[in-house]
Amino acid sequence: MSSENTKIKEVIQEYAPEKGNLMAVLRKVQQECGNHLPPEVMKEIAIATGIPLNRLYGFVSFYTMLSPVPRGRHIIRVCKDGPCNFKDGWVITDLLEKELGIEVGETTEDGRFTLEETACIGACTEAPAIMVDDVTYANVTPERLGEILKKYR
Amino acid sequence: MNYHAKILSAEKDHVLLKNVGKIDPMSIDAYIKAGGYEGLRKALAMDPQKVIEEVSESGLRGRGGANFPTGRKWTFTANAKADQKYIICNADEGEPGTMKDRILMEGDPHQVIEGIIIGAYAVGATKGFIYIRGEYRKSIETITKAIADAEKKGFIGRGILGSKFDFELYVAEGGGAYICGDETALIESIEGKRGEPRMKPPFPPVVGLYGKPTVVNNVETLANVPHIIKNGSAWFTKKGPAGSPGTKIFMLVGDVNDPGVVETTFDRTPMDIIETYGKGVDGAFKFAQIGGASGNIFTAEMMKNPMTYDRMAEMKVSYGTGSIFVANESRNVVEFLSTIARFFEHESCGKCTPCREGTHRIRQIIEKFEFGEGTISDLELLEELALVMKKAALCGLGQACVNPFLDALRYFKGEILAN
Repeated sequence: MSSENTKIKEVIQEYAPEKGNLMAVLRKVQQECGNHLPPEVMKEIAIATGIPLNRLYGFVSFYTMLSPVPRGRHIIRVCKDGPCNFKDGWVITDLLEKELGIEVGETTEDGRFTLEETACIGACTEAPAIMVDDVTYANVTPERLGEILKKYR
Repeated sequence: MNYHAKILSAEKDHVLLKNVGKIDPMSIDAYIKAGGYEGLRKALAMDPQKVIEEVSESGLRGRGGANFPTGRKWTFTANAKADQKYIICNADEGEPGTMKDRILMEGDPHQVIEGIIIGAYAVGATKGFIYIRGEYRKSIETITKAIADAEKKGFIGRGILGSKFDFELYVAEGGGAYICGDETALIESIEGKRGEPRMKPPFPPVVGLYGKPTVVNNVETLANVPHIIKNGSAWFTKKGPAGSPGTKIFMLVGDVNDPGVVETTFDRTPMDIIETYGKGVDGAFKFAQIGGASGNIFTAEMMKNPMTYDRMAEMKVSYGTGSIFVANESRNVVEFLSTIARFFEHESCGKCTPCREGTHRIRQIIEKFEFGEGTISDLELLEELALVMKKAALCGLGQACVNPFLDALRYFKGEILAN
């Protein structure tokens, strides 16, 4: 499927080690592939860039924002660090798990959401905070959570 | 513009936050109108060695947490002989409770970029990177736009402002790995590898990115540089007490009545900052953790000391990134430690055994106390393990992550055992 995808090919062409952009290239390819990097796409990248496939896999599996396994269309990241915890961030995590019927690390059956934990997202003065894709939501309350999810449904 | 952080200190005391919320961060003209890029103009008229001397004399130290004198770091790279040198701005901010770099990047991106260009000129780097964590998408976009604008104005590129200095600057993205805040892990990541720290020495100022001399500075450190060059080192040393010059961004989080961000000088005590700007502690003060997840625990007594380098060294603590995470009497120390233990178990890169195994075992020991099964011998084991990690771990993560556990054993042993 991927070989027909010219957009992916274009993005891979952007790879330039002297610009330190492997992460950015993989992130963009991942966006085209539904939030993960399937094995055949990784092979294609390995061939095009000359990066050995095992090193590429090592890279993708090391960084939590990249994934070698399928994920949902939207990734919800919950912060489990001290400042969010103090402001009942765990309540939000529990609610999300209940609402979506999945646990942290899992994807909903309809493939819409993946729930992940993240390290501090730097919104601690307005804790608790969560991220949906690239957007940070601070001062999240159980009431606001429903409104936030609605935007992605 | 929503920065997800309230600035609590007064404008008149601001140096680094002066423009934040005041000018349009997307407009280079607004930055120039506010006196921006004058530091760069002045630097380019100076000998690079003079620029380093000015920064050395200012007494500026790294604001990422390690407090290393910036001028000395620059000297190492400037003196190294190589056909290519690099400068890297470390924007992989991930220390829990910390958001200063995000605010600086999103609120006043050109201040950071100007600092990077001056640093590059000083050490002789013709190429630079700003490594921004992947979660900070907005920072990445803001800085990317700012770099493009700076290129158009001739602050980046060939023959900058008519000088013989050429400089290229790229944004490198992080991928959600806390460990990449370590400068050698960050370098590996830019090189397209897993973010695993390197053996040191050699240190990056001599052998860094692609094996070339590389100076790595934190965002806040570099944001200070344009001001030091523009106003002179004497202006900088006059701010704050002797030996701890300049201003620092502190963050009040946790059990504080009005959490937010404060820029002030080092003669302040953490408790004074909380009371002056954060409307005091929410509840009765129990302890604070200063400087992130690996930061030291401060007791009520310690909170009354100014945060000067000398006083911190005497107390054998550090203020790290400057986050002040307050816990009131209702907080359970074991729960607090459990959060930290899980964090480090997850963020350990797994390269060296003391950290990979140590963070795992620490989490298990703390878990025993969470379930009320811990004994005094578990605490002895915890202490021994922590001391081994401090000595034997490869990088700062494994060495420093034991700080809160050792501190908790000192101040709250009874409470942990009672769990």
